[in-house]
Amino acid sequence: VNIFLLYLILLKGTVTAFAGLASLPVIQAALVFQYHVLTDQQLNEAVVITRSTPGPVGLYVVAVGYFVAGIAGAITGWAAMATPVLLIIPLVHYVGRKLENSRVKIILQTIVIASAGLLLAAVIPLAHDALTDWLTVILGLLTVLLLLVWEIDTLWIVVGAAAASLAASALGVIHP
Amino acid sequence: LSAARKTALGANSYQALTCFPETVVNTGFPAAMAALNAGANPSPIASKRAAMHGAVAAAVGITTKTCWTIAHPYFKGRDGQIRVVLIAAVAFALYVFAHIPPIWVLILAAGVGAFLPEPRP
Repeated sequence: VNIFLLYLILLKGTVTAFAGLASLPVIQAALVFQYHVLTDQQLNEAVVITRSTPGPVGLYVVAVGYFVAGIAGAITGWAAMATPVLLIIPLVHYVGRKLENSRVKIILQTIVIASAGLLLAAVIPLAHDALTDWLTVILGLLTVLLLLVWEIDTLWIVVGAAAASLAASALGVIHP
Repeated sequence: LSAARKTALGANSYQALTCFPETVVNTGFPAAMAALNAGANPSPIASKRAAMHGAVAAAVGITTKTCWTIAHPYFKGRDGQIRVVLIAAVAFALYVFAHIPPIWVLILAAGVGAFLPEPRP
């Protein structure tokens, strides 16, 4: 894919997303399944990079851009992430009152809820790629449990999972 | 080094001895120490791979939990709960089973949202 097409694909994801990772299904469908320029492994790694560094969750599109087209791709990802934010300023200025309309709110709510269902669907191939042995299955389930019950910072969960996997590998328990 | 020594030393130790043949004495006590050190310290690439193996598993968990984070604010009241479950399930099914591209699922959701009544508290 050329840079402009990459920008449009990432923009399609960021424009339709109202939460950090909600753009993931759109980006996965285009770059992984349609154009085959990204793998589920790289998509997972992009999430790891984003969740273990400061900044908004949506920044994972920068890592995705980098995996697809290097530095130019990363800049494209950044531009795609910033574009909706820049567009929303004049949009709010001109149609701000309409955004308070209850019908508009229900439409936006429906899109957001649908994006949650899509994200759950997008997890299936990611899990298929990442959860390849008993340790990774446990780590994945434990992560969900820790986040739901204690809401631990994702940075510590990523670091802990990496340390657990490293220790298990050093002990010869798993062979990644 | 012979193939037999490679087997006896293990991959990491063998790599350590063959990478620096001019600096490492490959017999006797120094060689044993070098081999032990190399065996105890796996290569950075192997370590990185092992760490990433666990980190991506956590990423899957984080992404899964994000689904709940997104839907949670609307999961209020009986109407809201039914709405969240139905819309999310239909979006899931359309993408997974009907293979409809996500962007069209979202556009369809917007269309449905235009006709949905306001949820009762």
